[in-house]
Amino acid sequence: MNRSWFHAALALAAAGLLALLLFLGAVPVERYAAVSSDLAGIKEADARLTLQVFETRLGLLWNYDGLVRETRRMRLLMDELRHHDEELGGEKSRPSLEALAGAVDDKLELVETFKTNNAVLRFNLRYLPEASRNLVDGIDQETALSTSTRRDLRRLVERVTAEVLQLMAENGPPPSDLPLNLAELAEAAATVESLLAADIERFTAFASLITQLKPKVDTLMGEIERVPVSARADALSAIYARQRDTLIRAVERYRWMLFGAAVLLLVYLTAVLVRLRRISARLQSTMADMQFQQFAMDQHAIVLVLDPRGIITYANDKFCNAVRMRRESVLGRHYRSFWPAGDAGVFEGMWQTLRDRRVWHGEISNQPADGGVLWLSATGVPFVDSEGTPNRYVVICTDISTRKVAEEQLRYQARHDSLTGLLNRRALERHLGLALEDAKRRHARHALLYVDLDQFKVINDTCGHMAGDEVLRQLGAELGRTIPSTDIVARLGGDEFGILLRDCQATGAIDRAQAIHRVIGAFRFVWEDQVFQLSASIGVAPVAPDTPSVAAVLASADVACAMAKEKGRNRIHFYEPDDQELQQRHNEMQWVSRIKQALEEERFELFAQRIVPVRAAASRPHYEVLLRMRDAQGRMVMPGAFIPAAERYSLMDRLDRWVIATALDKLDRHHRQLPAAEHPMLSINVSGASLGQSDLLEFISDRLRSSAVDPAQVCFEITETAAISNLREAERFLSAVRELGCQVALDDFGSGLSSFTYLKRLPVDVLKIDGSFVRDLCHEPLSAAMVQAVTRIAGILEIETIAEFVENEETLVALREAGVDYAQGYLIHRPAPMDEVMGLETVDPGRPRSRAAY
Amino acid sequence: MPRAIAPIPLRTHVDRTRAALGRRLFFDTRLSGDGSIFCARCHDPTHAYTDGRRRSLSLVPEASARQFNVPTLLNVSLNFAFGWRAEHETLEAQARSVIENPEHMGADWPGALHRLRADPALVAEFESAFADGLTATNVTRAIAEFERSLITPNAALDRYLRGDRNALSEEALCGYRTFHRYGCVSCHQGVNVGGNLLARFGIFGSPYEGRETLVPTDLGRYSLTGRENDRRVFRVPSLRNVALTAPYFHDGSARTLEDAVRIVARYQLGREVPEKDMDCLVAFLHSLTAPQPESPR
Repeated sequence: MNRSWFHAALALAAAGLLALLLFLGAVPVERYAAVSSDLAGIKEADARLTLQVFETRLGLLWNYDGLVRETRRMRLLMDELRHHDEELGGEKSRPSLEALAGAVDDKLELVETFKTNNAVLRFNLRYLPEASRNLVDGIDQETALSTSTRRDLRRLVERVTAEVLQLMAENGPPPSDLPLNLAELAEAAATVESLLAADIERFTAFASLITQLKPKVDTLMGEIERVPVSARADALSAIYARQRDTLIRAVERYRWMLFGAAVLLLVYLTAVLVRLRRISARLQSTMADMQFQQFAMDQHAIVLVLDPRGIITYANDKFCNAVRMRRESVLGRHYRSFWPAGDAGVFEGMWQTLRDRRVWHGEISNQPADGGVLWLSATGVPFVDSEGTPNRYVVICTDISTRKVAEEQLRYQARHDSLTGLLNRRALERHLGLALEDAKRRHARHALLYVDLDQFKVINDTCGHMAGDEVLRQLGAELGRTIPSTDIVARLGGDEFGILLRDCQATGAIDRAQAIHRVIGAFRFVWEDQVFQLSASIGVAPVAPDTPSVAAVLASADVACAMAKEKGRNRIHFYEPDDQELQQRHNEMQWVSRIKQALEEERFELFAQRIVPVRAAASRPHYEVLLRMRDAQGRMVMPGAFIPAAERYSLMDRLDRWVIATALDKLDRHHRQLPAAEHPMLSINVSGASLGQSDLLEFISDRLRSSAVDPAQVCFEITETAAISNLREAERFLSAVRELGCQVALDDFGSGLSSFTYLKRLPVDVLKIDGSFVRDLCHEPLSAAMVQAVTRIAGILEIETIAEFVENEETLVALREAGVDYAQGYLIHRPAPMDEVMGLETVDPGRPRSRAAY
Repeated sequence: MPRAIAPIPLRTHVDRTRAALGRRLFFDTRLSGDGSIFCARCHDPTHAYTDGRRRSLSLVPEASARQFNVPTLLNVSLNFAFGWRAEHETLEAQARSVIENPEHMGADWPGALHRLRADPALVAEFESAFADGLTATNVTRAIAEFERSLITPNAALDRYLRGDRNALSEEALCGYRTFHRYGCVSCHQGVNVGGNLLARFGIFGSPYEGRETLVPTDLGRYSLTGRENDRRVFRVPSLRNVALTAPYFHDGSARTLEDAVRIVARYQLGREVPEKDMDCLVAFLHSLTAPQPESPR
């Protein structure tokens, strides 16, 4: 049911009741009583008038005071009746009222006439006997008349007197001979002497007057009695009674209606009251709850109430404490005055939302008077009035400063490198993403530098991690100082830095990269009396509109950096998408899955290349074990194709183990198959990645123990670079392997830093001179000098030397002259499958192998 | 035997405030059109509220001849109607008529009320006497109330009728009886000894016989109604204080009581009054004279 309709109906009913009450108030019950009383009075006065007229006529009343009183009363009552009738409206009763008034007037006029005539009649009657007596006496004394005449006259007078008195005594017509006698008397008066004649005339006049007046008065009396005052009063009374009855019936009906309405109202009121009590009880408990809730809220949150203009009309203690002001000075101020430096957009958004009668959530920050940052998580709730217009806003805020600070810290940490304070890799990636978008949008070009320190490992390994950390910190700070603020430096991990250069073409990028390169070169790191000079390999990759992704940029820069290293470090390599070497690098990515697949499908094979003494005769055959891979089509793949990928993607460890296990297995088989033959010596390469593997030593010793191989038959080769990069691990590995009885060789010696100081720390049996020196031995004095230096030092350290890449006689002669102990290369022996070289039976592919070995 | 004449009740109920106000107005010239006339000018308290003239004064000189003899206001409220022709049913109507009549006071109400309103004391008196204060109706009501206070209840006859056997002298008592015997009492009856009915002036012949000029007012109610029956019909005057109100009749044509008695006996009763009866009757009429009322102040 529609409530507003219901209430409208209720209001209408109430108005109706009120109107009824007014109507009832207007029912002139007392006026009907008044007219009734008037009419009764008129009837009573009428009856009294009639009665008093009779009494007067009969001589029971001797004055007219009573008649006058009743007359006056009657007139008064008529006036009152007219007045009351007018008050009653009187349209229906008017004719009857006028009829009654007419009757009353008639009656009163008749009464007046009666009074006058009756007075005359009365004194005439009173005087008649005396007049009669006097006349009879006069007749008797009238001697001029004859006795008989006097007697006749006397008799006539006495008879008339008697007849008049009889007339008075009786009702009805006068005695029949009275007129005759009166006429006779009148005649006699004319005949007699003058004096007596006058007396007779006077008597005759009295008698005649009485004779005339008596019937007149009687008639008047009858007329008075017949005037229908009473009947007309009754008629009028009946009209009034009818009117009144109609009214009373109506009143009765209205009274019942009123009663019914009152009962309905009472029921409604009761229902409302009951509901009100329930609501009141609920309200009280709700109020109490709300007070508790508000108390609780005030303990927890800042609560503000704003009016529609934004003026603060309420603020709890928390807010006052937070802004460090007294409440009196807070109230009445605009809320924005507390956030002067706040983000205007946030507040406008909030205000718009609230004005749209929606709840607003957000965070606002504040700088209180004494500094620090106050962060608030705020919820604004608009309160609307009955018309839906917001009339106040309640803003509840929680102090989230602590959380915000922690968040900031986390965010900082998430973006920054903890050691250097520079951005970290993730942050750089984000900036790269933005730079890439920017490049696409504006057709701009940016560049990414991938900086790898060349000597970091040296510092780290010779001076310890503390020094390593310190050099990174100092260099990071130096880089931060060097680049413009628009550019970004990040530490990508280890000794790698990434630098995003904004708005630069390729040439500009190289210039700036060179500047950075110079800065690094000029940087001096001092640690415990030692001064280190640094250099870096820098890869430069463009961030251009056609750059596919952030990952591509990073990869490109990384690859370029790797190329710089490969080309001999301490240089800058600019990434060119059509660069074949780079293309190859990219192909490495594909190699990962190929390597894994090849391992699964056992498509790796071992080749061997003989190593021969240059000067002395060979004691026992010596081979270097070489790894080869067959691709899925069975084509041979050289290590140069997959080793870099395996190194880069942490597969070297597995490959190393496979090589070691397989090589030792072949040696073991050689022992078993050819026990009488001279067992060869094998040089096995171990990559830098495997040096850190703690269980590799255990693996090697287990393998040696479970085979018939003499550990002295095995020489482990580590490249110089790998050894220097992991000096400590290399040292430990080499020592442990030597303890097992194996030999160790430092491979590619001279290619790296060729710091002879390392040799003091590394327990090496053999130095393998880097092939690049050997190849150029006869053409490049520097290479020759290098070979000679190595040989001389090796001689001093009693370390044997091996020269690789011996591809012609000329070189071999030079080596011999240089004093190199062994030689290896195509001139001496082309690598061939190991089994074939060692004279072993071809391995049955179906033979079960211990896979757990890898 | 029932009594034709009744004594005046000793107590009269009068609103003293209104009566006092009425008395002030009674002497107030502001009620007259030209500010020269006031009620007491004709109803002089020192002349038993008459002026002692044959006919009353008139503001219109040419109307002087048709004026009535000024009737006394003593006991006037006991009459059944007012004016010689019984033309007013209430004292208020009578007072209003006199005030408005251009021949008498000639006042126009707006002017009169305007003059009265200029008197704050009078206005205040009206405020205290009437809920609606100073109005024309209330002026007449106050005057009428004053008139109602002019009751003289203690004539010798009243005392006699109340039981004081010695209140009437021998001669007056003789007159009282003669008054009955003659039939005078047929008309002059009631508490006001007359004043409560109409009667024709001259039942036995016309008292105007031999008069050369008659004015319309001499014809009584006929001058009002034009009905033949009303010719020479007047209100029977009260006889109370009659000794103080000479001359007599509507035209003041009887100078003394004796003259009046003689004319009334002749024309109303159709008889002559012997000297002896005349003396008695006059003595009786004197016994109707009462102490004059104190004016409420």
